[in-house]
Amino acid sequence: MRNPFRIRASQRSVSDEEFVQLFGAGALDLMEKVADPWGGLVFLRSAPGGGKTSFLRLLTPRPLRLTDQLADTDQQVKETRDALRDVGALVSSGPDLLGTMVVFTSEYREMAGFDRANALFRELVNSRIVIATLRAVLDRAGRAYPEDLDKIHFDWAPESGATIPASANGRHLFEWASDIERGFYERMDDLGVTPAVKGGHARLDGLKWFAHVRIRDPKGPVEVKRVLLLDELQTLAPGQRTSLIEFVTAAREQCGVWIAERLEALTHRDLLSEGALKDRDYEGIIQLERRWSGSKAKVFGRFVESIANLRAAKADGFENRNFFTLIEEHDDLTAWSERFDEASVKIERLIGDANGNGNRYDNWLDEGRGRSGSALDRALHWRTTQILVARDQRRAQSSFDFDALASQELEKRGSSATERAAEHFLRTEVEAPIYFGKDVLSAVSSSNVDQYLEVAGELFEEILAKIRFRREQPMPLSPERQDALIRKVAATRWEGLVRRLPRGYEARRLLEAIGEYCRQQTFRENAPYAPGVTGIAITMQDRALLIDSPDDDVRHLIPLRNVLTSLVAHNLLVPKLDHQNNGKSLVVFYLNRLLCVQFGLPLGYGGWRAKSLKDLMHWQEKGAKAETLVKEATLV
Amino acid sequence: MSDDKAVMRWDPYSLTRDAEFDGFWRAHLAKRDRRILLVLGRGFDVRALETATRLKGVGANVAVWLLAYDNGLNDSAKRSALTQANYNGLVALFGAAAITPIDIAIGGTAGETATSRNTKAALEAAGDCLVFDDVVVDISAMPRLVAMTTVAVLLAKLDGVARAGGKSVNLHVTTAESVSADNDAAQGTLQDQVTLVVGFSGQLTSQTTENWPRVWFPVLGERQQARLDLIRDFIDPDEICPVIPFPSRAPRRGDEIIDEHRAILFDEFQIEPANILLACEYNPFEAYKQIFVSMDRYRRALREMGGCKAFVSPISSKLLSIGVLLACYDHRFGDVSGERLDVGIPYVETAVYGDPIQDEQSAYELYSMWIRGEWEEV
Repeated sequence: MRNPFRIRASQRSVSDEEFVQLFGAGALDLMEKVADPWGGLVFLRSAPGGGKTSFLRLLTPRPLRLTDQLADTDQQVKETRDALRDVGALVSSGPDLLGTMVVFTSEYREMAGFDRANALFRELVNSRIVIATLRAVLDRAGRAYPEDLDKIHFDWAPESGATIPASANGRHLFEWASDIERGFYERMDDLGVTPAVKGGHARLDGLKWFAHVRIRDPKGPVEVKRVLLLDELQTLAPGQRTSLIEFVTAAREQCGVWIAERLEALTHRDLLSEGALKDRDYEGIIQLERRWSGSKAKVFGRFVESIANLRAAKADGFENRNFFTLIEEHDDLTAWSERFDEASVKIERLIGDANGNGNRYDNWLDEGRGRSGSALDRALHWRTTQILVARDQRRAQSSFDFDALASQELEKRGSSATERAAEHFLRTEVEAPIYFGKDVLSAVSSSNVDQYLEVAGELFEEILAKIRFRREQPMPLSPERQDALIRKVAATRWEGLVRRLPRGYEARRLLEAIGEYCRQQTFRENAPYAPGVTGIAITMQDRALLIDSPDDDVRHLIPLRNVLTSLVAHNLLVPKLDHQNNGKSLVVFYLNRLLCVQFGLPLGYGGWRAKSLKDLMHWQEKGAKAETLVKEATLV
Repeated sequence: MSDDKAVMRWDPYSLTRDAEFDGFWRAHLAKRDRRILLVLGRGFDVRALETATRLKGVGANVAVWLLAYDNGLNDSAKRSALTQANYNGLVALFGAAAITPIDIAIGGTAGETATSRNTKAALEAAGDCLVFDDVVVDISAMPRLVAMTTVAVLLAKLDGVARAGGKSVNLHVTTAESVSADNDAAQGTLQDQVTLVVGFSGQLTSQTTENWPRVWFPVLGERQQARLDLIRDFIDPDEICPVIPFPSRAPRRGDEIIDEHRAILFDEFQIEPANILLACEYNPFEAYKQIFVSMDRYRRALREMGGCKAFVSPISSKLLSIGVLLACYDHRFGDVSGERLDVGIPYVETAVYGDPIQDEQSAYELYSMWIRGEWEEV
């Protein structure tokens, strides 16, 4: 039995029909802020696994047509169709968009080694825009590619020197483009002495051609909106990428151009400039993880939940069940009551000890003893009280031990953040499950679809196995198993980090130290940063020094800059601007939430501590063991 | 299908194992005076000097091309010391004057895919290998991409010269094989890009052949999830045929590799168990035959659809990598009467090595493969 959560919807081995049925309509919410998606330039960016290629694929002719056709019989597809109608990709008569997709690979980057002036690059891109358009036109018309190429015709008015034929049928254009491809591969695959570069194109005519060419298919002129979908730009050499983007930006052609790329294509300045951090994205940039975070986290939660249910429905034997009804949301108190009660007794004794011979906490102790509710409720109350006692004891000597604190003081000094910290402490101490439930599943994905599917897929596998043996009465997956499985995914990712990440060793050392530091700060007895510390911050001055300075001025900082940039590009650190009351601005780097699981931290945002660049460099060099050497953090 | 035959060039073959190595080379050298060009890597691997030492031992007249790769990063003290010790050992064997260093820039930490192309350029500029009678490429201490490119480029060059009526120079490939040593040496940070061996692009992104099915043969070793993931994303195959080592010295090795990669192979890649192929772990020519035949089956079965693209990723031992290279080379340049496959060799380089945990005493076996030359003329 195969696990449908492992399917990558963007892969070509997934049929267009299956792809459309698996597509979560909520993704199209991301287009809300794009004013003119079919007439301007749109950047779609994310860490690996953000869902860029799936997004682009939906806009190509076959998936669009299938969405329109399947919507009447499939509620989920209907939602996608409605969303596509809202953005004008579909109209009542069917698709109103010619989405033409060109995917780049590292083959182009290899070419940069001998194609210094990008002439061959432009030539190849031109040819591929033409061929991709031929395919799209035939797909849209429901015709076979390449058999029906002579049934479509293209006319345009080329400028002098343009090489794309002015008037030609699809077959002729196909031959023209094939010649270019053949030449490219002959050069790439030549094992003999490398010949000098000849030929190539001086201009990127393919874009102008795409925007202006008059197209006729067997039904007549093709008069629909056009969008060129350029995928995987991060695989290009930096010079190729820059020249392509500059050209597209300057051309301002009468068609949409979408550029999808991983964040790793961006430089440290692109990622961590003040403008980027202040989210001054102009409307043409969709940075997926950022768009799904903050106030949109709930929308993201609904989106990934719909994906999870779509995936689950694909599994043999899962039938019409709902994935989330099989994920237990509450502790099994019959199993844990004893442990929670033991914890309560222990905490009561500790508070009694803190009281010494005085009566300062008598009322609080009475309050705890009189507490009703479940074993968990009582233990949580005791653990919250314990934190408040620790805080009280750390206070300056403004009061005397013989001033008994009133019961009301307990409530006054508490907060929901303290209660969340207390719960995290308690569960950690008694080794009760921490990471379970639908919301946790969404939270640990750190706004990344692939990360969500990886974790949910692990849970689903076990659910499916349980269903096989208890088909009549499937039991939800217990919090204990959810917690164990989520931790297992986090550990596996952690193990693979060095292998998968550029500068993996340095990156892991830095993360290890950040994790260790966050743990130390989170689990301080008075929980000063409740519910916990899950990020570190640097001042904007330090950010400017690190990011904006010329390389020669900050040679010693470049290794740190490279690692930070790489971690941000891979969504392992999530940068956010945070403004202080005293007017001092800082940029906070929050840990990816699966890293929080790895380090046993809470999943909420908001808790961070400021660090100097010197500390971070030290961490990057020494890893977790560095933390014992670093002095107590500066309070900001 | 009688008019669509593919004749295997390396069937029969000439393979010499450790115990016969000295005898083979003594006999070979005794036939006539021979100038030997030894191409080897400047590296930290404990096996780096095995071929050189043995050739010296049988009295060969050896000149050395020492491929020195640089990824632009600082090496650790341990790796630097091991590399320097290997170099000193080489100088002690043949003298500094016999050694020609050849610098090759290889991939750094991110985004670089030029290793194979740079290796080819460096070999083009290195000098004339036709002045030698035998070229021996010792791949023991070479990064995989450098090794495969070196063998492919030299083989193509020597074949081309001989085909044009020029001198026929022998080409041998040697490696001191140890599965455990390969595993221990190979851990580290991977490149984030897939690189194709020069000459073997498989015309992956050709739009004119976009409809052709892509078949991928990952030749599997231990702990290769990350590479599998990257390469699968890169080629986006329609069909996947994992190749596992069997027979192997450890009889359960193949099963253990499958078990280790179970989730990625069966859940993510959705492969059919029937697609799993076997290739002999300790005989690269047998592995070559098994891979060649499997590729050829697809070539013939799918020609009705216009054609087929085959990609083979050597993510197992170095010995099997040579089997892969020969199978791909033979499909591209060999005696195939029908429509050829587009053949690609995608691989993910190690960007930064961890310190090796190889044991200097670890057992390995020396193999010598005679790839081209007099042997074929017999």
